[in-house]
Amino acid sequence: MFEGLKMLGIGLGNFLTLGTIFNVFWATQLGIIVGMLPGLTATMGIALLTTLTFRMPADNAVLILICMYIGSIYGGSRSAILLNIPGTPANAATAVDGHPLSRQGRAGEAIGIATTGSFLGSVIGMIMLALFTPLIGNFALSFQSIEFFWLAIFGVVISGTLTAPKDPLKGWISGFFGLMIAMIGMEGIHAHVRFSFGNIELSGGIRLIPAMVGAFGFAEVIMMMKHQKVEIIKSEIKRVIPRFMDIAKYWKTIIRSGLIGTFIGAIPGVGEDIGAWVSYDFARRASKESEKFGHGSIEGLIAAETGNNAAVGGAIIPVLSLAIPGSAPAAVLMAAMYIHGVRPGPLIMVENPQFVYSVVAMFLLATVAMFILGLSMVKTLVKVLQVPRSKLMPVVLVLCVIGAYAVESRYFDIIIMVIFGLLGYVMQELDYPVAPMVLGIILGDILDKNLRRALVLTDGSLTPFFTRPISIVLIFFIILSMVSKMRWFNLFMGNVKASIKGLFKRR
Amino acid sequence: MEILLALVFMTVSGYWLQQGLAVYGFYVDGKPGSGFIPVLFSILVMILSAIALVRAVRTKRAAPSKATPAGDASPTVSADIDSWKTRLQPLIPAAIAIVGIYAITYLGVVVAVALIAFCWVRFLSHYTVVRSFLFSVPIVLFIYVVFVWWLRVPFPRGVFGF
Repeated sequence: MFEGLKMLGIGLGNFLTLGTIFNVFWATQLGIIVGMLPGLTATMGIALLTTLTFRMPADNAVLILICMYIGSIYGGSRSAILLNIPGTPANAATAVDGHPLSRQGRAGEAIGIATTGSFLGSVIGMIMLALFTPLIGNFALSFQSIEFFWLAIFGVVISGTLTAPKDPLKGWISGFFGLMIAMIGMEGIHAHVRFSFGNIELSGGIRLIPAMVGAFGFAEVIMMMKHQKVEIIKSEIKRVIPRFMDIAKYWKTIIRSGLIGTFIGAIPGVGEDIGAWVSYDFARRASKESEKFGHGSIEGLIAAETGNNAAVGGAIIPVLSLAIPGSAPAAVLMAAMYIHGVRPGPLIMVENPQFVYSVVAMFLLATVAMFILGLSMVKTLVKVLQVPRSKLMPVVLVLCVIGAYAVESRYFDIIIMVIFGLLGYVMQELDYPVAPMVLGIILGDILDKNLRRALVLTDGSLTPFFTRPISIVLIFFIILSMVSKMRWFNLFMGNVKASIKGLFKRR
Repeated sequence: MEILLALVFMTVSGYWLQQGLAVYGFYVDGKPGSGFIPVLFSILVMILSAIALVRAVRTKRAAPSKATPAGDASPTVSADIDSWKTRLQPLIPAAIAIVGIYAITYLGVVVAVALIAFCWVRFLSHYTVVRSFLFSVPIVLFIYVVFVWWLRVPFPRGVFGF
């Protein structure tokens, strides 16, 4: 405990220089602007910024990316409140109550409450990050190849289930297709080159950054070509700083949403949008004023914003402790860590425990910067929302092309970026979620190596895969997350519930 | 489109399955070979996409077919052209990016970026020539300062020498 605090102090001390503070503020402000602009997402922002920071020292680069992450997830609330268009998918729940408040002439108040909710959510996420990363990391040290194999499968399946709630089949196809893509290139055990089609460039595998810039950045440019028009509503902004009582009144909602957001964020590949929706739903069910939800409820707004920003902290917990990202932006962040030579995963608590606490310190700095910037310059920044997309898209396109090339100076990466952009666009148009595919690409290598290593260690026997305690728990959750979405299972469960109720009534 | 995507997933996974079994080896010398995992996941994707395909076909059959009013061909033709325009529009950024790759090789990064930005705002956003030029200059400056001067990314020099 004290050792952890000491390392956090060292981490914080290292960052308290003028240059670093400057980096924190510009990156967070840029994140807020990226989040504010509909069509520019947190994932795209982090992916593009990775291409700008790859020559920096690891600590500075990761700090800038975390500032972008926190800033953009918060920034999306601005357009959700003022335009009824979530700046990022994470802010969709914010629009439900934020925009009605804006229509009532309380836009300033809504922005202030959203900022405070995001700040408190980030603080809760940060505390959870500091507490649980070492615990999970230490626990994961007991994991062997079999557990890592099941954990990767669990990540892909649960991500598919939760990111495609209407049709999980599409989520699973996306996830397993991502695992197939990950098989391209040299495999880790016998160094065989697979699925390269005789192309030397492909023998090194699909690089993550161009693939992500394509799937999340270029795909958005293409989407914009189809949906160009955005209606801009002018809202008057008065008082922004919220009253203490308005916040204190909902302390239970804040804590609940913070914890839910962190938990949802920590589930592999799920992300901030679901964190916000689940927090919002719980708040509505528990509220004494549930009739106000959807019509400008302060409580609803706080729940959504606390939930999505707490999910950021949650998403980084499995990145650091298990090398499994909790969300799409966290996946890019993890890829950036690899570029900078940081290897997250269970061994990080043995090899580089200071880095974990440095990340917590980065989180703290970004959260404070977000709060300060969020409550200031509101009227000026709202003007950014009036920038037409026709001006924005060529800038994003140029950054996608140049950024994809810049990391490894390979033309082939631009082609990869374009292919993934088109694939991402088609998938989004047909309601196939892209996040499970990206998670599959990341986890494919871990999964392949661990399954084959485990089979070699067990002399080809499959029995240990189904008998080890952690494996049994993971298999149970994999089956449950798949079966729970099937109609017959829900009918069966409904009948069981009815039978139990009937039994108690008779008695 | 839904049917086409399911077929693409099935074809790709079919290729993965064939290569995994025939080329890389599923089980080699009593141990899992390089094709082990590709085979497993390609089978999974094939099954799941087959289900998606059946569903998509059923949905298409269940949907009422669009009737064409007799003797009124022209609106349908123009609607068809509009629909193709909408479908092809997303390919424009891809085409610009591909042209950009060749432009960077032959013209250098400065001219290529200027061309990409200029063409976009001139032909897609319908700005005037002067406005398009004024718009592309700061983008070129930004790319040059950040990527060439600051990050020192080794871009190829084009025919203009920069």
